[in-house]
Parts: sequence; C-alpha cells; structure tokens
Amino acid sequence: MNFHLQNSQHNSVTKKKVFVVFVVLTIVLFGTNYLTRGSVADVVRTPVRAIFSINTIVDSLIASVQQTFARTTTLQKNQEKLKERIAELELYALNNLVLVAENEELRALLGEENTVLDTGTLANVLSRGGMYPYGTLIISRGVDTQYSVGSLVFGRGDILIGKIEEIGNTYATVRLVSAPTEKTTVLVGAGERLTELTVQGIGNGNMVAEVARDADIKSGDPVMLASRETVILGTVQDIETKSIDAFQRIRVRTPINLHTVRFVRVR
Amino acid sequence: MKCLQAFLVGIFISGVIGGLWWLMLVAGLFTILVRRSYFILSIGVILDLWFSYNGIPGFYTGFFLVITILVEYFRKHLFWTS
Repeated sequence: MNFHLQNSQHNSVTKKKVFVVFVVLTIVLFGTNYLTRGSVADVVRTPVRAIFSINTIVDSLIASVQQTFARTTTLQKNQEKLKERIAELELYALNNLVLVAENEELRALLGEENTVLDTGTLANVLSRGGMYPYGTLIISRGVDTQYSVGSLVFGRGDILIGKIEEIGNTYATVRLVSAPTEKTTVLVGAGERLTELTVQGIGNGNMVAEVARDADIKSGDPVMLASRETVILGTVQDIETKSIDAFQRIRVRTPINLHTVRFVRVR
Repeated sequence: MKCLQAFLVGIFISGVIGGLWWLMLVAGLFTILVRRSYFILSIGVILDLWFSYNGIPGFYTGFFLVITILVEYFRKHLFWTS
C-alpha cells in the first residue's frame, strides 16, 4: 500500500539524476570550449544575428507606430531643430576634415613614418549593452578582415569603447573600457592641468578613479588614453570630495550609448 | 503555477532580448523558486558562452545553479517536497 511513497521516491531520484547529468554536461561544455579556444562559443553565437535582429525589428516597428500618432506641429518643430543641428554638424565635419589634413601635413613635416591616418575597419555590433558582468560586445568579422587581439575599437566620433579580447571565425569579442574591473591608464584634463591616473570600469559606460585631493580636475574635462595618439574615452561627469578623505573620487562616462551603438571601427 | 512560471519565463526572455541583465536575474530567480527550470539553466549557460571572452564558466551559470541547489535544499528540508 506504499505505491504512492515508492513512486514519489523514484521521481525524486530521477530528478536528482537529471540534474547531475545537466551539471556534468555544463562542465564538459565549458571545458571543451576552453580547450578548443572558444569553438563552442563560436557555434553558439551563430544565431546572434537572427535573435538580435528581432530587437531591431521591434524597435523600428515601435518607432513607426510612434510617428503615426505624433502630432503634425510637433513633427514640424522637430524637423526645424534637426535641420539646424545638421547645419551645425556639417560645419563640424568640415572643420574635422581641415584638422585631419593639417595633422597629416604636420606629421609629414616632423618626419613621422606613418603619415596616413589609419581609419580602421568598420564592423557591425551584433549584441549591444555590454551584458553585466562581462562588459563585452560581439562584433562581426568578415572573412578577409584582419583583426588582432588588442586592436582598439572606436565608436561614433572616434571615441574609444574597448579592445578586441577574442577572435572567432566570423565574430570578435570586444572588452569595453567600462567593463567591471577593467583598469585603464588615462590622462585627464588639458594643457598644464593634464593628470595621469588609472580608471576602473564599473559597467554600463561608467568608470571611476581616485586621485589626490589637490589634483586640478574639473567636471567636463576630457579623458584620454595614455598613448601617443589622442584617443578620447569620455569626460569627467562628477567629482566627489569628502572633507575626511585625502582623495577625491571622479566618475568618468563615455558619451557612446552602449545600448544603441550599431557600428564600430577597429584599428 | 504553470501560468505563473510561463509568465516569469516570458519576462526572462524579454530581459535577454532587451539586454536587461537585472531583469533576467530576477525573473530567472523567481522562475526557479516556483519550479526547477532547465530552460533557465540552459539560457544561463548559453549567455556565458555568448558573452564571456575566455570560456570559463561564468556568472549566469553559477548564479542559476546555486539558486536551484539552494531552493531544492530548502524545499526538501523545510517543506518536505521534492
């Protein structure tokens, strides 16, 4: 008369076996991925393009519905503002071209070997947001594209967002400068106020650093990579000072929206 | 309970597609609290393979496995259910 008890005990043992099998399979999968240097991850990333294209399709559908319901006057005002902004950006782009030409000329005069500025390779961003806690993006890689581990990755406006960490057959993994625990040596400020320090990523495009209290750093100061080239990471957003501390805590933020970035440049 | 689990799995999938890691963790946690879910565990494994850069077992796999083990332990010892 103990059929029910026997049946529930049998079910419990079966469930435990299934769970143990699952854990063993997971360990084997990760072990195989590690030993084959990411080949399993490469296969898993194959549907990335299809799945994340759903996000893009949904975004565009929502945008089209919003546009349908927006009032005409609001649209007209937005259009005017956009036209003004385009005119400003056209001037900015023209200035940029002039500066690039001047940069090349100056480098040639100084006898630099590489006088041609390398603009890099364009890549699609396949997964955005830098999923916590890894702080990575997956970008596409063409068959003929020569990426190398450590190549710098830039977003809009030549803002540095990360570097190549891993290369697969058709994908590359970018580790963001704002990835949690990622440390980067940077220069903050300009001219005589230039200060070298190390920022640590805390995720979602944010970085923090501690610097001596007497360091001359202001909110809005540009933050650049400590390298030969002028590479901008972001700007100082906030400075926190406590009277009892000998240090001040600065927060740096990248101007790139990591949740909406679609294209990057690798060089 | 099945409807609740289905609802929570739906929120979990929305979190995955939208890149909302906190929503994924919360929805996954509550799904496992309701009932053991190999779907959630598998998605955690896939996300770690997807986003990690050196293949080492990661955050989501560990989190969901630990939650599953803890929930099953307390469910068995406190509520005498398997």
